[in-house]
Amino acid sequence: MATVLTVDDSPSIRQMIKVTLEPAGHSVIEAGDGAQGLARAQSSRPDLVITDLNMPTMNGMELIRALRKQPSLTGLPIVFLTTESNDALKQEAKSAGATGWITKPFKPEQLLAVVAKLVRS
Amino acid sequence: MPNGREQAQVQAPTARQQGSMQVVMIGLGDEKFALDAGLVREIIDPVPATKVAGAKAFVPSVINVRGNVIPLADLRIRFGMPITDDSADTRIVVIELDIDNEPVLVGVMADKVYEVTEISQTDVQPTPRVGMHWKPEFIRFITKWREEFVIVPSMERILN
Amino acid sequence: MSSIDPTEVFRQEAAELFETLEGALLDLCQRPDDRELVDSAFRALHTIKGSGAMFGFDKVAAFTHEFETAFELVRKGEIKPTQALISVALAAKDYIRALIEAPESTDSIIGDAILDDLKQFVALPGTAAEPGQSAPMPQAPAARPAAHAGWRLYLEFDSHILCNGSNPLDLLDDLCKLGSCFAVPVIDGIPMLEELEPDHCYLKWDVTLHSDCGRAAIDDVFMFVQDEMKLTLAPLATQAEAAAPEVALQIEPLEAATVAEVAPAVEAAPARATEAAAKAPAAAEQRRDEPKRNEGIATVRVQAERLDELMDRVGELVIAQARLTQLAAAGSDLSIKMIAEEIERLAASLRDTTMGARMVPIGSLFGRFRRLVHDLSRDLAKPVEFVTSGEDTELDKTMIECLADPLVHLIRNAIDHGIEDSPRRAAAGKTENGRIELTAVHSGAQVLVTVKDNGGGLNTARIRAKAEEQGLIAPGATLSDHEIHQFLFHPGFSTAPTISALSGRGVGMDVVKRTIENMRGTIDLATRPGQGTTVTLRLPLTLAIIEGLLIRVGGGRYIIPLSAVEECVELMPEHQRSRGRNFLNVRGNLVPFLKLRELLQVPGSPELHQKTIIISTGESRVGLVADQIIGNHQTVIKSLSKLHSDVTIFSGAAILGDGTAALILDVAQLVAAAQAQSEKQIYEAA
Repeated sequence: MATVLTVDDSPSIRQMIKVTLEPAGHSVIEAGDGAQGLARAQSSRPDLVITDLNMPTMNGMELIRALRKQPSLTGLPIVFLTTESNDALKQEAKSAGATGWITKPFKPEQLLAVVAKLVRS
Repeated sequence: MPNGREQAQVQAPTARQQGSMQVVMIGLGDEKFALDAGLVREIIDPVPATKVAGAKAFVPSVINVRGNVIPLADLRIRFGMPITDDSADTRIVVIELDIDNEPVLVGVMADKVYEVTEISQTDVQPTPRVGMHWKPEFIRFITKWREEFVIVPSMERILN
Repeated sequence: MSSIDPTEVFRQEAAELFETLEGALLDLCQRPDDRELVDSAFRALHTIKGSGAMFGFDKVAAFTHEFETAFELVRKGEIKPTQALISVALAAKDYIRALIEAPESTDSIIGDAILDDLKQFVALPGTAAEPGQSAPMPQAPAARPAAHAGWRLYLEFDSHILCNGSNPLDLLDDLCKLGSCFAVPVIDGIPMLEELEPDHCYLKWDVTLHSDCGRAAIDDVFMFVQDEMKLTLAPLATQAEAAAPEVALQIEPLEAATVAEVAPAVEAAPARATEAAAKAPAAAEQRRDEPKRNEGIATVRVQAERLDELMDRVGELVIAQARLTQLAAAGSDLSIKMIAEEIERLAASLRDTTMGARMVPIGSLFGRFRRLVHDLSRDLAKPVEFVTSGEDTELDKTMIECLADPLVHLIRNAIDHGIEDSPRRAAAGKTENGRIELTAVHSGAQVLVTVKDNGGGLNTARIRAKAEEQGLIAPGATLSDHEIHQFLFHPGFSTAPTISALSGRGVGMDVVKRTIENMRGTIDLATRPGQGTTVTLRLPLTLAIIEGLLIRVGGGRYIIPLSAVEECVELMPEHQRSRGRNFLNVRGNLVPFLKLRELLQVPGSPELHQKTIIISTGESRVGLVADQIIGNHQTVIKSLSKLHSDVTIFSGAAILGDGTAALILDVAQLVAAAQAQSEKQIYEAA
């Protein structure tokens, strides 16, 4: 199954993602901010990145832009988490290169569905 | 001060089947005591005990059980029985009690450990008010086991 | 680790976020223009809201949403973080905290009142936005009956769509799930080979979908890419052949060779497919290397109990190792001795590492007091500057927890009783702001924590008068100032002439002292009239392990904490015989001594060469007489059970190399017990 990188400064969200995806057979790796996320994406080559937007050190928007500048990560699906159904924010993230989004709060099924939509085994 | 009989009714023993209760039968002096098996954690051979100066007479020392320092209680003192030297049959029964709502491990000296068995609770004898030299609150109830009277002690009360 | 309940993780995380938030808010009082602080507060709020909603704290999410909206304005620079706003923000923070930690204690009336206050500052719009909707999701085909046989779709994606992680083939797969689907790739957009960019999408598709699904289901399939594609969509006529006219215009005439089911269409995108195939083994390899390069996360959260368990296990290991060393030393097998030494070394370093893992910077505790000072300063109308230093100083986590209450009391005392009110400060020519300094610093194997105020200092005369009044000292007795100050630690001792709202709350100085001593620490007071008071707490680095001196009295072995030991001297025979005059002459100083044999009720007569261990308990030095000094012993402290809580002269027990337990002497209590005993004897003799 897929390797999913979750980038979030909130350990509980990371934990939530982990306990949702791991039983479904995915392996989950974690990063606590954008800079760590970038490093882990480069080192671990995940199949999908799920990132928060609001984070210290390097925020999600910056992370998406930085990931899209990596030639080796071309085509990597990136999903961002957002608390608002804020269209301007979505547009900004999309034009930064995000593949999709999940609106918080989300249910485990919703997370699984998005992962299934973006990564095929 | 409530008497022992009332206590026996208040404290519901851990029943396995209706009317029976699993116990560890130990000998102290000439008496047999039945310890609720639910309390017993393990039974060990005697180990060197360290005397605690100034402690209550019935918990005179501490022992090391698997890296934990636990008090060693001597019920014979509580029941006014003569203290004899350890014999080949002497054992320490480690029990877990709730003291002030906290689980506490306590070692209990036994002159002999007979067996784990079931005793009847339907055959409970009223604790006699006369002819007893023990404090009635130390006794949960008295019952019959193989035609012998055995005492089911109230460990919480004895050790508090 | 994945079994940890995320809700529990959230609670822990929220507690930390509240501290961050509070710290940022309090700092904003001082530096209202600091962008970093505003951002940090905003981020904390954002996470509390987002995660709160995730874990079912809906009230938290709704309330925090409004709070966050207010801070958004601060962040945009539209409103200033004034003192008044920050006070409301702190109240709001407390309310959210209560919603998470003790929701049954909260009252929405209070929450509404706080929100009203917030709205006054920021003129919030009256209605709150919904705090997040459920994620837009690909849905099962809509249940509503469709009057048509399906859809005719024309799909044209932006050329960069592959780079952004979307895969048109996956989307076509998703369409297939809605019903039977027939897709025809349109290849007229593919350029000549030399112009072809391998990561661009040139294909377009013409799709016939036989399904009774609604338009929404199709939109769901393309929801992430709807801005990056042209989607033309028309219902199929009930006769499958009839195509919608506007679609027909855009399609090339169908040729047999280009018609394909969706599955074979995979071959029609060779660039993407081979790329994916090439990537797969590479990715697998990378993952195998992962443990080596797994350096992304610097910290791991561990439940506190697990650390305690680990410490217990290490303690047992150290004990088992001591026994091994003893056995090896007794034998003659050299290789066993070498292994025993190796294990001793390993056990020692494992113990150090484990203890290190339990160390927590004291700053986490200091942070909590800033709010306390802020509130007290406001309530008592005494402007106070609060300065902390040494936040990085590390202490065992259990110690940190135990220190919280004593420090609250000391700080409260310093503001309530130490710092003078403004008129009095002005009269004394002092700065208007009082100052409380809280510092922590390492000093050898100890940590010194000091609470220093620049108030009026202790009123020695008043303490003395009170002590006389309470009958603690005879009127006119000669006592040093320091001795008089010790009465502050006496139970029930208070000199406050008026009972303020703060005094009488919580613990007294006697409890502070006892708590510190239970941690094997000491507390000391120093004061200078008119200039202030400094309270110094001396604490061991850890609660779990002590360096002790192992001694023997009769057949029993005991441990004296090495920190209390000053020196060891031989007891001369003439001292042993003396009755009633238990004093030693140590280099010209009179030192009273206590016979442990008597205090510990050891039967039998003392041995010939008695040793005296001189210990110091704060001010006084006392000799303890033992039969033998065995040597230094590093030991894991085991506490005595509740059944021995009435025995005060032992602070705990340790397990010796041979597996038996030895009791650790609590020297302060031992001396106090001996004093009480001798006073009783004097009283009975009189």
